[in-house]
Amino acid sequence: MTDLAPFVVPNLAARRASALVRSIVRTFLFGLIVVWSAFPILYVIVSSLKSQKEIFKFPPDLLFTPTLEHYVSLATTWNGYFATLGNSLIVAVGATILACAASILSGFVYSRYTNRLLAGSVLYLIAIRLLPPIVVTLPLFPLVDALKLSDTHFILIVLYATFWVSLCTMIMKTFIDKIPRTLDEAAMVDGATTLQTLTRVIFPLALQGVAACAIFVFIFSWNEYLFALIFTTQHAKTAPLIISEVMDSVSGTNWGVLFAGVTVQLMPVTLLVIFAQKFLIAGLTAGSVKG
Amino acid sequence: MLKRILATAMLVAMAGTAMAQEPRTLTIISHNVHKTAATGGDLATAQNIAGEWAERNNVTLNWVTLDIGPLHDRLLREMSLGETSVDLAVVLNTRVVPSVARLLEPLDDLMAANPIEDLEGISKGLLDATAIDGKRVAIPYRHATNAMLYNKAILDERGIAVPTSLDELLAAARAATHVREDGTRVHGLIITAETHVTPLQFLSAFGATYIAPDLSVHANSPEMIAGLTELAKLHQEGVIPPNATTYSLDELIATMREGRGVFAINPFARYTALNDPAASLYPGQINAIPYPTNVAGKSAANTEFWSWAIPGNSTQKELAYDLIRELSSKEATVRAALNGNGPVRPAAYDDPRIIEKLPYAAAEAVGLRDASIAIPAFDGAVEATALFIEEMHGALLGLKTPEQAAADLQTRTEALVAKSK
Repeated sequence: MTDLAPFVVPNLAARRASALVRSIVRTFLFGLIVVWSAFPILYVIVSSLKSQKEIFKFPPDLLFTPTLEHYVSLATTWNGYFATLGNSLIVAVGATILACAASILSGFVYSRYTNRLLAGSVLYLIAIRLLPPIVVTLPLFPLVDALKLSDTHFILIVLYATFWVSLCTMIMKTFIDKIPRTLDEAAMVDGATTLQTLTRVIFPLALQGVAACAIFVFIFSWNEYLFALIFTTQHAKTAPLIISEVMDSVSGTNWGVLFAGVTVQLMPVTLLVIFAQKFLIAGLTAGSVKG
Repeated sequence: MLKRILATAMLVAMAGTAMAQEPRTLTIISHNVHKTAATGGDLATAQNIAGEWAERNNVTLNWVTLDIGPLHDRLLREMSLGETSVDLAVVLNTRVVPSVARLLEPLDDLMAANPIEDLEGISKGLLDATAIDGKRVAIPYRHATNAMLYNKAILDERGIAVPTSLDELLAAARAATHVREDGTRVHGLIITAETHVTPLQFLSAFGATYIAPDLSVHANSPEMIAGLTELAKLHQEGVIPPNATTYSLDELIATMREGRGVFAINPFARYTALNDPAASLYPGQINAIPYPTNVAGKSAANTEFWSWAIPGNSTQKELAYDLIRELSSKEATVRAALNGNGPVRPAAYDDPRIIEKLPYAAAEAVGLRDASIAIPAFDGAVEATALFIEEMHGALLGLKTPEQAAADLQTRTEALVAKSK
């Protein structure tokens, strides 16, 4: 024992020291990422509670008397903002439901069936994602107008869902690929139709993927600006358009109101991401590990 | 007797029809400032000019407000359709160009039938710029004429007199540039060089013109080179902020409110925002005066302005024109100015209500008198602003000599103008 001690103890100490260093570095990097990610959000929220004079004061006051004046101003001066939040919600929920429903069906088909047409259409799905959205708006604008769909929730729901259905299809395919085909076969042996197999067997098992898709589509639809700008005027106008108006290039930005609006806009999405982060991570890492 | 009975019956019938009429909706696309100018917005002293007209005419006004870029993007898309729901729009002067004017309703016939009150009372330069190929396509409504804004408190603190000439201004801006005890750098001159307007204003004080109303290009003039040379020097000396090429309106406002800038080139109307007691560290200390030149009694002022126009594919042109008439009247111009609008009728500045409300009224009247349009209306106007910004940045940052930048700007702009004619 005594002979071994000189060899074992320094080795153990070195490993402990190394582990400690790794732990410190990891904690530091983790802290850095948290600060990097959370600082802008905190800055916006805190600034929304400061008076106009205090917002850009340097050095900033860490202790200040919070005020809700900007939220009051948002509700009075930009009184359309809260109505547009309702529009944002209708459009985001509608697009999420539509995109998820379409993606489950298409993901199932891509996962369980193989032929040349399907293989070719995957390329088409990916190619659609490569198109800059502004390009799509050029031919769409007169078409939407002719169909009398301008300034309706419906057109935004369809556009947002269409824009995301390709990626969501791929996500769903990856999730459904992981579900053993033997389950489909067992269900069919028991007399289930293809639709019943999908809704009663596949869907419950792929729910994590559906949730991931839903989060992606919801966040996109909630924040989207370009399509909303081009295809809405009044009735279906969404909240990001009002926020862009607060960033006024004629009179200058009212920063307090802007921060208040952004805080309100951020809340649902931030809460959604916090509560559903495991689904989000599952969606982002779907298919990354084979096995 | 019979005639009387018939006439009475017709009148009753007409009144009944009018009462039974559904309120019509007039859709207006504008920036929020125009809505505020026409309605008073949420101002305590709001003058709801458009609202009163709407009530009298049983019309519901549907305002669609957007920022400058999105506003024009949307308007042009709407005008490309066979028929649009937009009945009335405001357009910035640089967008009232022949290719756009063809999509706007010529107002001459409507004006002949129902003239606008004292049309000649509207600034001639602005009126001329909104008549394309002999047709009146828009009626000027709001101007933003550039002024010299300065922080009186800092000038007093540094013992600097308010400049009365361009040379004095440049000397004062240099003398006012300093570093405070807490390390804060105070810049003598603030311009928003991310756009063309304030740099062109700076250069115009040297007598420089970029493009004349007859579309002749003067970018390579000795005045332009002198102005660009001075601009580059001020930048090198730190009188202008190092990030001047990306300086936005928001930064200018913040810089002036916090006393990190002493002189600034911006419209007279910025006076209110810069002196706002709720936001400025120098409320009541920032003055606005006409931008001085080295010619006694003459100021240099570039102006940008907005006009009302009716899309050619609108379905309610007469109704839209009636609102333009209302908003362009002499009284409405004064009332809109009380809502914060830049009145396009110079006579409005003599109105006691405006003199009482706007401390800079007399100065702005002088500025408007001497004002010229920054860039005349032609199909390449927007591209010409981009060329100017690019070459001006080159000179300001020292990437090119002012002479080279001016020569390149001349060549490129001449080609652009030739192509656009």
